[in-house]
Amino acid sequence: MSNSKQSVVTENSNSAKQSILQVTSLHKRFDISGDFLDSLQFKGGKLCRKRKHVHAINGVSLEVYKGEALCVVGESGCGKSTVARTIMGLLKPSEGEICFKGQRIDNLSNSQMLPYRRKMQMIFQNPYASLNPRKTITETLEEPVKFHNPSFSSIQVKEKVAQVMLSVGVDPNWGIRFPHEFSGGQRQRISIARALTVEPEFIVADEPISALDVSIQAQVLNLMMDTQQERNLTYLFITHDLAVVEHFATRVAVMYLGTICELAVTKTLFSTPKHPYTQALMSAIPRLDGKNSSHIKLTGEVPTPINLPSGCVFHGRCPHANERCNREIPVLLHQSDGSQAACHAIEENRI
Amino acid sequence: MSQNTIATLLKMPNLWQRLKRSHLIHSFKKDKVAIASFTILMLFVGAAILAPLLAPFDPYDPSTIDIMDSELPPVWQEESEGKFLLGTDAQGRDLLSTMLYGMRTSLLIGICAVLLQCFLGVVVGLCAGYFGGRIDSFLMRIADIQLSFSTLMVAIVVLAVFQASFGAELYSKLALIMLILVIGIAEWPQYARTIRASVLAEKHKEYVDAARVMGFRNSRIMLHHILPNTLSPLLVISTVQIANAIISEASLSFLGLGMPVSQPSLGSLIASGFEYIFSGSWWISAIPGIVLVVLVMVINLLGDWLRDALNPKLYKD
Amino acid sequence: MSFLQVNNLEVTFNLRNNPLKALQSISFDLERGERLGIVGESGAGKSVVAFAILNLISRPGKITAGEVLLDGQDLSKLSSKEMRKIRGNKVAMIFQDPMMTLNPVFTIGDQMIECLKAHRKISKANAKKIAVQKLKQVQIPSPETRIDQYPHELSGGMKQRIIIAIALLMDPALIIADEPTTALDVTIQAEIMELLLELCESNHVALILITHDLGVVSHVTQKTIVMYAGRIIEQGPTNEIINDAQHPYTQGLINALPQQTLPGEKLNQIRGTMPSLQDIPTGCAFNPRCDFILDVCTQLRPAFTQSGGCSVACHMVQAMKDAEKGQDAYE
Repeated sequence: MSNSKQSVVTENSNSAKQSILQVTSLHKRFDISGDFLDSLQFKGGKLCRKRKHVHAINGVSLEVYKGEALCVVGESGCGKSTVARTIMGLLKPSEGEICFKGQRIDNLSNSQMLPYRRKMQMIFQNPYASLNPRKTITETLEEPVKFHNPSFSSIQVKEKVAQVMLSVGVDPNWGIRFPHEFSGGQRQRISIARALTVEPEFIVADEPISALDVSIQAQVLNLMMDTQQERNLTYLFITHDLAVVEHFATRVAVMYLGTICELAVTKTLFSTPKHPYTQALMSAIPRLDGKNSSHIKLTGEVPTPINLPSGCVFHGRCPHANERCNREIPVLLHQSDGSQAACHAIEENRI
Repeated sequence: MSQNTIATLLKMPNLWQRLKRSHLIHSFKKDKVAIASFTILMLFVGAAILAPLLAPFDPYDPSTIDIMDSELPPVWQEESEGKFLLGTDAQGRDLLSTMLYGMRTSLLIGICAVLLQCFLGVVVGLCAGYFGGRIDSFLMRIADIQLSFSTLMVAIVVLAVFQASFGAELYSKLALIMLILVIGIAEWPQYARTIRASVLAEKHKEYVDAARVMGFRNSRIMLHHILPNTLSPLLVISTVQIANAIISEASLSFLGLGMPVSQPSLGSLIASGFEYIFSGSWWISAIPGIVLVVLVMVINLLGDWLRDALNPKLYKD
Repeated sequence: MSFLQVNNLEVTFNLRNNPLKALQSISFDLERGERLGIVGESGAGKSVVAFAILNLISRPGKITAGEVLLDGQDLSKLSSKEMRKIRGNKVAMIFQDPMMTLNPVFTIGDQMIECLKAHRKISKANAKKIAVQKLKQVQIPSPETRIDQYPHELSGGMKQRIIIAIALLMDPALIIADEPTTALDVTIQAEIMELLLELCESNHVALILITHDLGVVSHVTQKTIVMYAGRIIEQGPTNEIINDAQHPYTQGLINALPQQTLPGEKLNQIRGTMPSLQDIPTGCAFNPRCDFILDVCTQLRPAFTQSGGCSVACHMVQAMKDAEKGQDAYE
């Protein structure tokens, strides 16, 4: 089962797999110009309005296939959480489209989105803020059941809640307790239970285990893997932990400053990382065997997403950058082994 | 699904047990000032509620008032009459009874005005904080404009104009409602700002995102999810605002713009007795004055305790 | 006499007249220039050890037993005035979240100069020189301009370097780092740990590194202590603990790492969670989660057994050692 999960998603058989989510040329900018009065500036003899934007997402395109676990990896500030939120409709894209099974969802109103809310759910990073502190667990879990199934009787609602709590390993008798009476790992299980109450097909998980201890991470990750098999779920998993990615993902997308640098099947990415940024990331993972591969040091600091570098966003820190990298934004190109990478140096066979 | 589990789930959580074990009650039991303040406040509130039973005389009934009884001193002084425990005022009304009814009026105005402020402030603050952008700017500018007018000044102008245009008789019928309205409407920005600040903090928490991802409507998220989490600061400022409202009413009555003479409140009692202080009948102003000060003080002390008890950073047993 | 010697340290928290022992029988020692890792899950008490060494445990907590000897001087018995001379001076601490540790309303330079002036009589100009020199040591580019910047103008990694620089200002003999890289990205984490390692080695500074990340511990420290529910359950040389852990809990922690299982396979998890201080089981605190329990584990708390270079508090390990000894005697 596990091996088949890895091998089945190669570039050739992608067309046979059902595509569940399509993101096309996604851009998201946040306007931080401030108040109207703040943004006025005297330039060249006349009054004009200067606008500042945080360019969080800059042209992201990806597809998620049914049954897979696509991991989006990157460091803080790369925009992976923003991608997750935009996909779920918490933010509106500045440009680009998001389609669920071919239907465009980014331009729908709240009521039009309702049927899709049952199919797509989200798990959040912070177990301490993702549950309403004033509601008991039962209340938190019953609310979505009642909302999406108005015809259910109260017994049916309670049965559903108990069933979903058992499936994540939380005792239903503890439903009358409040979130602060549970540990971080238990809260995260309850968050997963909440996502499962509406029986979704697709779950976006935004760093769900980063805030937990290593042994609890193992528990929650196992739970997510079991749930995926039982319910035939598809995951979009956002994380910065490459060890988890190696274990859990079928495909991996590496992001830097709002763009995807490399997109590949997990095995390929870890055995032959192509993009210079991916290579640097791989070398930085602390390994237990004590033999840390010579750590590739990146020069310079992470540039700010407010003033994006021209051309390739990584060229300022890349050891292989040339003049073209300064000018032209590289496009994700298919490579011989089925992966995709956005790098002029790879295209020109310099690395 | 076992019957036992369903039976357990159908049982309501025991609120009383949870309350008893809560930190609030524990910190209350340890704080002697809070216990004393609460006891005194309950005595006052009890006395006010039971005024018709406790008052030896009915100060609203003109037939029981005899002008010959005016300005009699309290029982512990010579020249007093035993039946008037705390003496009488300038019109011959028993001071104790009048104070009991007056406290009723003061507390009623205080609590109702605060309820009105709270309602207006919460609605405005919730909308401003949750929706942000232009709605937030617009509502907060209105709040700023309102805050630049002093409550007392607005109250004086409104009440004076009302009294002048509608005459004293209509005024005395509507005085209670007018005072509640004026004090209520003047102070809503305090609540609006406090709630808005809390909503801004809660809005970014992930349980709100989870509610949006579930598809819940904005109104449901604001009222069911965010509002319960903003209650702590609300409770704290409410105690201060009740005290302020009582004082505002007392000040207005003192200036002659509050409760009419026929429906006395603590403030109007103090006002009516002011001119008699120097002629020797000090008790008409002093005794209601002391009661007013104690009432406001215990409310403020309770507010202090509540603010510390609800502040998780000060949990040091 | 070791440089730092902690003997039977006990810390109790008095919550609603219910005393909870956050630390019990903590004993370890550290030589000058040696690097120690304290590992454990949330709630094990690792940070409490750090605060106890610096006598920073405040109400409702208290050091109720034991001693913390630094060069023979018992830190737990010193007055606050005397402790102030030690903190920041002989012993420095680095906290977890660099965003919170730096004061947002003062420049970096102000904060560093303040530290220097608190511990010795020095002019502002000289203090600034030392500050710039320390910033160079932690590889901050153009330190003369950075010193006048505010914390919000710097990235997370830079802020943590500055905090390390502040820790080094008075040339301390011991640095306690409480999860210094948890809030940082993977690439920055690697750089910071390398920097810390380099500085400790070159300046012969002792280091106590508190973390839940075994990978970091294996790379940086020479000795490791594993904590569970307020007690030490295993301690010894780091490479022995990582490669040949004896206690079932330590083995569980190492096996739970994703690198230890094949991709797609279920991870090895330790069932259950660490008990809260109010519900510590009788006998060995780990027994409800352990796969190797003997009858005695639910009744008696295990004493330390020597196994190789490590001390392990486990009945099963003791039983195995006894069986070996019996076998040797037989042979």
